[in-house]
Amino acid sequence: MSLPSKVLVANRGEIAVRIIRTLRRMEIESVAVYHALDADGRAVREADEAVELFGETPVGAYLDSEAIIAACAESGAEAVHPGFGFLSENADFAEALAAAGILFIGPPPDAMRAMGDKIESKRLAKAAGVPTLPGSEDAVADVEEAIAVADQIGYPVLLKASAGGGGKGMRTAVDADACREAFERASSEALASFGDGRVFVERFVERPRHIEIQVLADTHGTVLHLGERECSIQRRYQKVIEESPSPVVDEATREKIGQTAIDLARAVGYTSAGTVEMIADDDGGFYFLEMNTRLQVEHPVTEAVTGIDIVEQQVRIAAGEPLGFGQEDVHFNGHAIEARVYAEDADAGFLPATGRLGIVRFPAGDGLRIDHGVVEGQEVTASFDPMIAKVIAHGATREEAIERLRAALAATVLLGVITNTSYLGRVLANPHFKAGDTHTGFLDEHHDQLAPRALDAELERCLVAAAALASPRFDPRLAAPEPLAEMGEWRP
Amino acid sequence: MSRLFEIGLDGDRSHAVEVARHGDSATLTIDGRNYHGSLRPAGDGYELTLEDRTERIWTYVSGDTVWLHGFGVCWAMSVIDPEKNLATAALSGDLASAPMPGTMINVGVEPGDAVAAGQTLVVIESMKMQSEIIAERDGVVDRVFVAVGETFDRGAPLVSLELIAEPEED
Amino acid sequence: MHRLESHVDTSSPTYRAYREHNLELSAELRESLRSARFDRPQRALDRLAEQQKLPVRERLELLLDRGSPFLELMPLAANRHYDGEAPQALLVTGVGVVSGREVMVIANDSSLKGGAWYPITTRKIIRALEIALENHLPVIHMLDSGGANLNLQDEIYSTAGHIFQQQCHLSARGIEQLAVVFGYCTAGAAYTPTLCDQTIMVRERGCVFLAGPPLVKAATGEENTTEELGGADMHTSVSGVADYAVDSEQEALSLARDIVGLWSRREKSDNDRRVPEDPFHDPDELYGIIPDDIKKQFEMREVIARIVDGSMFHEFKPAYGETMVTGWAFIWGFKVGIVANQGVIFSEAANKAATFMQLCDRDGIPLIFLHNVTGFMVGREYERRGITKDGAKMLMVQANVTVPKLSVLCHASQGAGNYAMAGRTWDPRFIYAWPNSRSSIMGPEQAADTMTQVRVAAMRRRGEDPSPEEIALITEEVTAYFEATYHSYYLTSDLRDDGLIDPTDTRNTLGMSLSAVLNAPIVRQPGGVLRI
Repeated sequence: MSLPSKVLVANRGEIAVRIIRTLRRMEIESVAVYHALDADGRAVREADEAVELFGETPVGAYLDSEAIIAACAESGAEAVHPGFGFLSENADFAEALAAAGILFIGPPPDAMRAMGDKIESKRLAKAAGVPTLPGSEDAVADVEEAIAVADQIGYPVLLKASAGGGGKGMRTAVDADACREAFERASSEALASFGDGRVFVERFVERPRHIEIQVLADTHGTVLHLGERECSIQRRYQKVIEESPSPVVDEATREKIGQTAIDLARAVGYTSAGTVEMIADDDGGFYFLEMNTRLQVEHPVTEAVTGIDIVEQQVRIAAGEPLGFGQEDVHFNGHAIEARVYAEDADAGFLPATGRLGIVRFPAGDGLRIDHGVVEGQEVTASFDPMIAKVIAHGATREEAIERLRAALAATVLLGVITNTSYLGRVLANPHFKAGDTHTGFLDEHHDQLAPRALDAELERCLVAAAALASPRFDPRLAAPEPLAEMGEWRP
Repeated sequence: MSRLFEIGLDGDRSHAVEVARHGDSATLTIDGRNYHGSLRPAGDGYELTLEDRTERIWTYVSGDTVWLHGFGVCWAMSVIDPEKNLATAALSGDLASAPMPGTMINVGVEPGDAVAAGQTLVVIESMKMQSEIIAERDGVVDRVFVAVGETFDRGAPLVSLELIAEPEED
Repeated sequence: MHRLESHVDTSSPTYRAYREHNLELSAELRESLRSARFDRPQRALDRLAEQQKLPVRERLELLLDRGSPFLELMPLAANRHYDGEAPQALLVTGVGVVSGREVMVIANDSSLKGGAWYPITTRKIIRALEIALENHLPVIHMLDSGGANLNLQDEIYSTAGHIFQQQCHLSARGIEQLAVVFGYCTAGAAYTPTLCDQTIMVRERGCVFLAGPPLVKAATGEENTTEELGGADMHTSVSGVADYAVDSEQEALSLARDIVGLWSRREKSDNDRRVPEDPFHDPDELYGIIPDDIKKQFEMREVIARIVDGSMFHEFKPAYGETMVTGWAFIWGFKVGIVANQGVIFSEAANKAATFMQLCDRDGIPLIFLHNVTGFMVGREYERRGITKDGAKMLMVQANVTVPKLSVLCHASQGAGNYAMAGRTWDPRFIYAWPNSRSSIMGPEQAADTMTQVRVAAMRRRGEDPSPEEIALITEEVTAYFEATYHSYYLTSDLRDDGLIDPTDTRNTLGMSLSAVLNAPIVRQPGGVLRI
């Protein structure tokens, strides 16, 4: 089987651009699909071809599998890379592509289905010998069962929607009464959000770290891991800063948890790139959380430390090529950290922000990688995910990576929309972060320390002056004529 | 010299500012004190000088907001005409409230409707004049407070928009 | 052009003596200005505060562009008149920058006598409007005056009508006028805001009417409040006499700046402008150059070197008629022709000056006159050589050149020499005087001599024989009269100049004046230049 000659990228924004770049390097033609809002976007500009999608909503356009399959036919694309989000974990889509004779660059539909359900995936993980948190084997039938399970495993407990994600349908409970309320809330929220009200119960880990293992599996039986990423810095269950390696994972641990991830991938017949997400407690315990059967947003940190282009490997695996290297060939070099630049007001509850990006300047330099999909003049709307860019810094040490990332964020100029660049800078400068003392509640715990510091008067004056001089409200045509201007305030 | 404007970080305390330009430099009067400053193009941005301090900055002006990148940070500064301040204060992003007392003439939206910034939400009549109350941002209508024919006072809530929901992502 | 060399010895006793003398004069001028502007009885200030009015100086600060120059004109008007009860004639005027536009500001000072008009007030307004007309300067009237001081109505009424006529002429020439009404504009004064293009009124305090409530009640029995009769809201919504009603003085001035910002900028006349350069020689040294006695001579080139750009000067006919220095230079980048005295005018000097003025007139170059003249040379030889004829030529040319002329009385300015050098009565666009300067029909000593001789002769004809003491008394009397009336402070009080200036401010004063002057087109005069 040879590499496809033309690949359609069923995504938008930075990830579409990132995939198109690898395709170009591999001398594979790329086809972008786009909704009208993205017509002037970077992905459309960089792709060899572009096909417009129409949808009732902008997001709907990118979720329209029929239209995407039609776009493949129209453009002659032989394969589809789904990126992440949208159709990336939709097994039906993968099957529909297969039926149309189009290659899906991702795992087999069965593996996607198996891992798509939290309860099912936990059962499979347990069977494969992956440590899991104690809790209900299955969805609990009713609130009484939830309390019974909770009593058995001990409080605090976490109630989680079986079909959940993104923090929706999750509730903690410290006792039976709280459990009763949490059950009602979690299940009604799950029903509202996912149309599936099933909820299960498991032990709640306090101050957990989020640690995940990147795996690669080809169709020839090779399964290997690319080390871990720590993604503990989250807000509202969404990752903000990710790094590889984790400051708390040593080589032996990496070997151990890497192997469990490989075992799980094998057990479900996994191929392509995937991620086994785990939570780690303070005592060095790692517990299976879920497996993401797709490319992760934060994959660049792994690419930085391993030097392996994960998208390229996905394409090759999908085309049936063997990996061509073994676990012993995977080396971890230095430290990489990614910061997600969101259009949001970090100082006002991370409210998404919209507006027109009037000025866009990204820095460049040693050990720096910027994945972004924006162009100057672009509208940032509430229609899509608020992520604008990912800034990834690679250094010999964690300290060097942090410093490079801080400098890069300070030099990232995005004007016209509120972004979190300053906030990210403050997180990176936080002594607890520097010490690697991280957990998923980090941002809440250090909320006050992460608030912007009061401006000193001189700095504020500079800003006010700059705004006045830049604002057309202070009309430049109101300048005094020469030479009176040069005389200054001469008033004898 | 320009009229006085109030400038401040969005939502923060503001400063009274006047600018008298002299060629490409200016005397800025900030809260009653004079400072010498200039903003000159430099590279792909600008060089700000205020008294003896110099800083590379980038700016982007969008309506009454001046976006600035400087000192490693992005800032949104609002330039407000203090005389016009009162007139627009009644409207904020999430809640459209009555700019004056009046009667509801037409309600064009209902809860759950998606609206775009600039779209008419309701029409009110006051002092024999009909005014359209428009959405300040994109969003979804949360509540309509006043029915057609009902009267309301100045500042009364008319239509609220849902707080912006967190989009899905991994 | 080359740089003027300076031969001033700053370590000489003369230099030091002169310097000490002139620094005293400088300090006296500064103090006089400060006092005229700011010394007001506390009750006057309290009264303003009660009325919620700002002092005129604060209004001015709010109006003018920050960091911009303001050339106050006639600041010591009426300071030696009316027993000093009307400092500055209760009026502030000058050329300033508002919203980047050069404008003439005319502002009543109501801190004393309700801002009433005195005869000199009237003349000061007329002079300011004349400057605005000649130099195409838009006018901002800041009105707050109780009206004419009726005890002096005769002297006021004889001239005041010009004000309104000038306003009409300004309008016809396309020169904008804006009025801000802070207080009363009653009777005739009601026409000033009404004749402006746009008028702003402050509610509750500004009012415009032909007759106030008491007069109306007396005339017709009708009872009114001030606001009903001529208040801001009535005039802006009913009568249309005014255009904008605002709640505070601050708002009024902010709006005024907005309005001025919408006026078109005037193109300056072509003047071969260069990039300005500071004088090479230090203007501060002027204090040691100007003598401490009106009879003492000094080198005018040393003065020129401390006024013009880079101290660079191209002298015309340097070896001819040496009591007159003529030549070209730049001041704040503006090209000028300079005519400067070195004492008494001889025939050759008069002829040289006449030719030079013709040259500048033909070429459209503004003229600067630096006065240090005691008159035309007298005596048999000079009369025989026709000094009067040569003086007449200079006067004839002076009267008829049309380029803008600016005069500075640097020291003496006496007799017909003052006319020949574009003195007050010869209509220079601007005229300034240094505090050390003196100007009169002749010197006081010559006058005293002459008068004493005449009076003693008359007494003797009557058979009287005045004693030496009596003769001395006559001399003293005449001298005292001259000393009083040829003094720079007296002259400026009577508006014989547009202001006393410190010598070191000459450069900026001329720079601002030239900038103003160039707002009006300069018409070149074609025609042959006579080598007379």
